[in-house]
Amino acid sequence: MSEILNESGGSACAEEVCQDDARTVPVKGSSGKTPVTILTGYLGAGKTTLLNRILTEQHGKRYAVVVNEFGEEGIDNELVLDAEEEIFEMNNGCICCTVRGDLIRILSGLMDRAEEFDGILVETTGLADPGPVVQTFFVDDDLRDRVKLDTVVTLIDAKHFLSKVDSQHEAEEQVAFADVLIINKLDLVDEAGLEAVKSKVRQINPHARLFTTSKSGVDLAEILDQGSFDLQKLLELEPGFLEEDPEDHEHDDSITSVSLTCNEPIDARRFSEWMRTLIRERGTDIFRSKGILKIAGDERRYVFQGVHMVMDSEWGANWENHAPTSRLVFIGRNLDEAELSEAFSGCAVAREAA
Amino acid sequence: MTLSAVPETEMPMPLPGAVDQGTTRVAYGITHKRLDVAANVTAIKGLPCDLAGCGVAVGLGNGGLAVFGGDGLTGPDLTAHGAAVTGLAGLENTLYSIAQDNKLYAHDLNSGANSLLFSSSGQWLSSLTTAPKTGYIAFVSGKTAFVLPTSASEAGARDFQFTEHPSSLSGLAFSPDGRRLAVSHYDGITLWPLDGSGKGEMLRWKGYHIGVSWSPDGRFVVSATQERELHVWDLVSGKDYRLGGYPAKIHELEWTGPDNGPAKLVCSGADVITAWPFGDVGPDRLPPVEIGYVYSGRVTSVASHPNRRLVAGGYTTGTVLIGGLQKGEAAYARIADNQEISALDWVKGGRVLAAGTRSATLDLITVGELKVQ
Repeated sequence: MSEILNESGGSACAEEVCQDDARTVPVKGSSGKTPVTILTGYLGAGKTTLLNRILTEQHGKRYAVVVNEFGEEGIDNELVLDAEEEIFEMNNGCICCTVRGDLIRILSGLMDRAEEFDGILVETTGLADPGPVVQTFFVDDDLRDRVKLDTVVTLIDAKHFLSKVDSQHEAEEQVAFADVLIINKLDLVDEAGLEAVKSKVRQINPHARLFTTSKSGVDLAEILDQGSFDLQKLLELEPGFLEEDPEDHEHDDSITSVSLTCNEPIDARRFSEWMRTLIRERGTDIFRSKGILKIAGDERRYVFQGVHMVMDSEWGANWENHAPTSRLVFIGRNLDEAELSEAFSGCAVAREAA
Repeated sequence: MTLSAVPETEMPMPLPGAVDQGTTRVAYGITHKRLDVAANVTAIKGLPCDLAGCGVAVGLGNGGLAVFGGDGLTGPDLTAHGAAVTGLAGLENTLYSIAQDNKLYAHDLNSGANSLLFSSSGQWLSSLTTAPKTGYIAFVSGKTAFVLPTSASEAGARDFQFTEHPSSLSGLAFSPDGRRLAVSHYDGITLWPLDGSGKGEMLRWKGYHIGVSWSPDGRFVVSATQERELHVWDLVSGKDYRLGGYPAKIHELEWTGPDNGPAKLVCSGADVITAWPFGDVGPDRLPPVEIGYVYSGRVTSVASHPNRRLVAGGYTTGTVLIGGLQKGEAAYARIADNQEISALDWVKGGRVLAAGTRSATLDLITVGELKVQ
């Protein structure tokens, strides 16, 4: 029985890493939860064009659409809801746990008419920081019960991206948060221009799947129903989900990715303490994190994924004939690879004896 | 208004079983009737006893609005909305309904006639409530709270629109005398007088407040928060404090009636029905009564009995418990079947409990005399 206490403290924002099974294995089974796809990208990157393609192509699926601004281009759908972006800070001591209350309200309301659609598309404003949008799906009970965040799709305007990315943090962060990146409007740049955009995009986020198109013409099967936030799916993709990072890390405040591996089993307690401290102190700078761990004394693979300071984790199938290599990926600002690597290695059981 | 018989499923009587966990073993004479409705149930409102066969109105996710007698007979179809019903409220002979089609309808329970009272092109309407003493009805849409007089209001009563809020509104409640309105939003709640002075008073507490309720004695205003707590404002002492420990957000707040001893605030959100003892001084540093316990699920809906010291709670798992407010003893009134209970209300002066599910069923549970085993 949960304790009901007068004046007891609020809930923790970041779930504990490596808790025991009772809490970490959610009742999932993809139990009919409605998938939500987030479309983000700067103004003019082609979000509405892609949205209309999703809505009009013959795939037999019906979508509810939530937009934060009506653009000049109309949206061709029966169920379109206009949400005013309303961000609030969770009042529980997690300094960067900002959440979109308008999305909680609208998506919860939509789930009262869930028979009318198969999925939900959320188009953010061009200037939106994707953090609060994504965190909303991690922290709200009702949404966790009824919908599942599927994929963050970020559109990039090939012509204007490089002129914005250094001065406007949102453009960079939209790339950092993405599961799928679409470099759009290819017809407006030459080959060298495209390579420059690709190189910058890959420096920020080398792990997202990347497509290049002219008129948002990407195959919809590549962006819908991807299960990008499904931890068990992450395990299926392993070890491919962690490719090597590009070598040319710039040491400024731009966003980069750090991948770490460890061949020794991980001590659950030390890893948990390190992650808790890391996301408490550096969570604002860490946009996304993912990991698959070999925990000492357990045959199962442990998988987690986080956004800033909020985190989801569960146990997966046994390692069996996979090489039991623990892997971590961070995408963030001011990440010091050497420091993170040292700390991660320090969580290995072998270090304890040394 | 006439009722007609329709085919229905007579449910086997559920085990009037006792709930363990050290609670007193009690049993109720309970019989069930289960009806299929056209869509998921979003709202339930017991109707005045002298009308519509002492029935119940049921709002649905497809916009439907069905009426049943407490005995399960089907009444007229009052459907008027084009999208999910978000609220039902009653005043005298009229049922009011709001929905995601942004319309407010009045349904005359004598004639069955529907009339459109309000329509907007803006945000969904939600949080419909009534003030019996002044005859006002109120609801929210986006950042605006709307208050409308009805035929139950005194002659010359005017309407109000309150717009000065820091975010969209999530809930509202009238003061017991019907002369003030509390609305909930980001970073607190605002109290508005319904006297035309237009001066609201914001009571601040950081975070997202998702609903609000006003105690029957007018002294306390209580909000529920995104952080899974209640926040209590004592308007007499000026103190405010938190009531916490919930595993989920608290969506339903209901006060026990005047016949049921000192006022308690009955809440959803935990794996037990929680009832906070307000009495005269409030529950600061007091524990709640914890009513019933089941091994899985949590309470989604609560309904305080109109004249007995009983409370009902519906669970995510489909369980419905009826329990006592004194010691927390409880018994099953509906057995878990994974049909989440989405709305509950007492019907027929408290002789029948109506329980609607997200799976398009409505149970009419007849509660007989309380027998302690």
